[in-house]
Amino acid sequence: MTRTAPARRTPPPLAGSRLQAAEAARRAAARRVLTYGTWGRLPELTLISATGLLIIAVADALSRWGYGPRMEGLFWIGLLTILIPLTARLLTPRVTRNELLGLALVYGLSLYLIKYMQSPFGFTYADEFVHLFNTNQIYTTGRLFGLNTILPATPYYPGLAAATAGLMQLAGLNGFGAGLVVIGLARLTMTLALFLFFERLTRSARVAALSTVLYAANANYMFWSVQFSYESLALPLAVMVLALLLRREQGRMSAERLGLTVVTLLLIGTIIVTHHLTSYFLVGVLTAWALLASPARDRLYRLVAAGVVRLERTKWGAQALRLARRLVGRPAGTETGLTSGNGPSGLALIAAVVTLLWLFNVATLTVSYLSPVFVKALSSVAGSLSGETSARELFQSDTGVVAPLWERAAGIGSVLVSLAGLPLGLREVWRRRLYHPAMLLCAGLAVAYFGGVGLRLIPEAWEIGNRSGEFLFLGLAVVLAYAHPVQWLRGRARRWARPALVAVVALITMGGTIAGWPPPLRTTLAGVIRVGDEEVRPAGWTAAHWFRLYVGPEHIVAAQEAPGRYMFGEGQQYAFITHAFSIKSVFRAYGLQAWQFDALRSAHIEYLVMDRRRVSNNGMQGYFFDWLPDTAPVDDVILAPEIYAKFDGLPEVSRIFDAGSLVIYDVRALTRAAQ
Amino acid sequence: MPRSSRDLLALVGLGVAGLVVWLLLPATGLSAGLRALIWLPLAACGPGYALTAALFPRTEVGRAERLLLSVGLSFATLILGAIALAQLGVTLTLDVWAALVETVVSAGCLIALLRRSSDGAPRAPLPRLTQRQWVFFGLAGLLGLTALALAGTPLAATNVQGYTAFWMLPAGDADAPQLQLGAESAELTIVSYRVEVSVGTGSAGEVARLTLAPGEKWEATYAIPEALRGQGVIAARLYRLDVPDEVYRQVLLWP
Repeated sequence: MTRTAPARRTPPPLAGSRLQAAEAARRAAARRVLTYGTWGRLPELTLISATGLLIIAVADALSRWGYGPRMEGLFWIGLLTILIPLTARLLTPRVTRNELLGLALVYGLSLYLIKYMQSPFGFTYADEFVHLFNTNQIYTTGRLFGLNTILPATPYYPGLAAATAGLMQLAGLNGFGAGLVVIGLARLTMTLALFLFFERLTRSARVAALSTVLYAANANYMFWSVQFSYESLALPLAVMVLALLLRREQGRMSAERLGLTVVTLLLIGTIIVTHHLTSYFLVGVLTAWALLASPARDRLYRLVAAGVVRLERTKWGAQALRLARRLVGRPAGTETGLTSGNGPSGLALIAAVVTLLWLFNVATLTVSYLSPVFVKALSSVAGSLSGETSARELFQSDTGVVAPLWERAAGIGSVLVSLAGLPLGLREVWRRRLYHPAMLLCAGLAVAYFGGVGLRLIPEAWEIGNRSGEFLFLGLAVVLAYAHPVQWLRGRARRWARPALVAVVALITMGGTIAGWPPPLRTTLAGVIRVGDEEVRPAGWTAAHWFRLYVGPEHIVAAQEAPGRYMFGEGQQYAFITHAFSIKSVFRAYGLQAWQFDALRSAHIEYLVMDRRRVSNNGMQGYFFDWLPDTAPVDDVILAPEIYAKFDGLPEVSRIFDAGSLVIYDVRALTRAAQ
Repeated sequence: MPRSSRDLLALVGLGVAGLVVWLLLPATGLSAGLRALIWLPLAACGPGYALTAALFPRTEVGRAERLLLSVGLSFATLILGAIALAQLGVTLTLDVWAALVETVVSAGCLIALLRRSSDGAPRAPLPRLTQRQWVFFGLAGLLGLTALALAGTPLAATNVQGYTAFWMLPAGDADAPQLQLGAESAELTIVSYRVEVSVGTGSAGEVARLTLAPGEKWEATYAIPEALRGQGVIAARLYRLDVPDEVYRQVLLWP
């Protein structure tokens, strides 16, 4: 019997070479996959999205031409042309990551272009004039922290204005052009950051893309979030911080983690000096994340587990638990590499400290700016709970435009569908990512979103409900995407689930858009019109440019909302509009009382701009041409002559500019004489 | 020079082009298009790209992440740089902005070049586009540009009202007071007007007759006749010749 030598076992390769071999294999596989066809249907879907954009451009053009609200249908057709094929593709199996990311980018940038096409000749949103003024101040003076008479706190958050002024200087653009570039880059940042955040959170590029598309359904995403305003830049950077934190958490090398920490700190600093509410949101999210990742979380889970074991020993408890398990399944186990104590507690602390330092050392005006909003909201909530305050009318604009029935149905339907999807998504979180702090955080944000929806019913609190939506929707989007049934349905049910889900995404998106922007303004109104070979602009714009040219910049001007913002942003005047120094009553009263003269004097008003249109008091609709009788898509009521002509009879008040509906008065003799 | 550093060299090249434009700009009055073409990508992505390369020399950063970091860190550079410079009392002129961007780009590229290893694996190539896919992207670009062009083209409006702006400002001095009168038409058709001036109860009569096409402007300086000086409020009235008895616009100056 011969003894055979035992087969020599191949020695395990060194860790380094094994890693190299695996890496080489991965790269080779990646190259094979990437060389052909990995763009999938992206080119076709980009073409379809461009077609949707063209349809919306036609709707805008016809609306400007004079068809107004009748073009709403075409707008919706264009939007659904972009949304439906793209969402359907996202839900198809075997779509590569490149294509999913490409689809998310195409969608995000298409929505940005819809806003551009709605307002292509200049800024026409109320806040845009405020930030344009700040930007021009930095551009002309080279100094930060100037004076802003409409929103005094904004110069103390100079991030947006400084970046835009920098681009104006370097690239030789005007404020509008540089602003479009900055906000376009912010939208690119937002889309990329959302995708990467959701992808790392769910470990699925498909769920990430679907979450990104769902996030775009929040009421503010299409129009409000891409206006030239500080939040439009700060929020994308905040989402970027969250995406980088997830990457840092999963980073293997210490140098990589250090690099990511440096980047995150730079971005946190940038957010703090760019927008107050976003920095508070970020501090809150980082703190909650740190708490959810702290050892206390494990203690809490152990306590809950012990409680469950005790409950199981009782007869009723055991039955209840069986029922609960049947409904929601067993909870996920602890995830590898995700132990407690890994949270961003240090970053949360730094962010909180720097935010407070900035608030109390630099931007102290923020307290007096924000606190009345929250105090009024709280008192309104209390009033509503006690029955003293009646509920706010939904789907009705400030000027009384009521949304059509189908829009109201879609708006309510979208909230109900989201609410119905919430428990399904939470169930998936429970079963799959219960131990992930960021996912738990998103689940919390998703639940909180519906609290914000409730605030929309309360008169003084609706704005908080509306504004909180774009922060809280971050959680709702991923929870809803997690709930999508295509992943766990089989056979025929799965075939039907896909079109049903596309319809649900379309409904949520339409509902969000309806809740976010009133009907006549979704398409363009006549801001610039062509007559022969010439272009003419509305009286407010002409007055602002005339004033800057003939009277000079930086005068103190009182005006109603729309002409005041034109004077401010385009005319570079220190404008006081209806919220300051009782100016509102000066413009709305039938006559003038002594105290109203005092109000003008105390604000050192030099010029008054009186617009006789009621819509001039509306910060959204007052920037466009007057309408011919019976053709107005928006409020075209003329104020009573006793209101708009009351300055004509005043001694020593010169009437220096008359454009029909808009008149400028020189009141320097009046306000200086009696001081 | 490692093959994988071509991106940094390209960025340095862009930085040099920016430097040339910045230094030559006042002398040559370089076209606005070229200036924007060089400085937009340089300022909006350059600092962030260079910082990303310097901070993550050995880490594989995907294309999407790199793009995100490039834009985000460029914003951070412009914003935090502006605040730091403002705290130092520096006025943010073109020279300061350009120096800020150029410094961060060149420093970031230099550090990245020093830290990048020469044996760094090349990045996976982007997927190739087939001819058909090129055609689709091309058509999409064409449609997108058409949409943007249509959106940016002012059109005639059928349901709006035109207007005429009329103004009067004091000019001259106390000895020889004058009026600066002007009108600008934003009417939808050509309109003819006449301008009348009165001082107190005395009338200077018609001082001008004009016809303005849409978008056209008229300006004139009118010396107040000696006989009418100091008689009270100066009023200028604009009448449309097609409605000659109705004051169309009126402006007033208190002496």
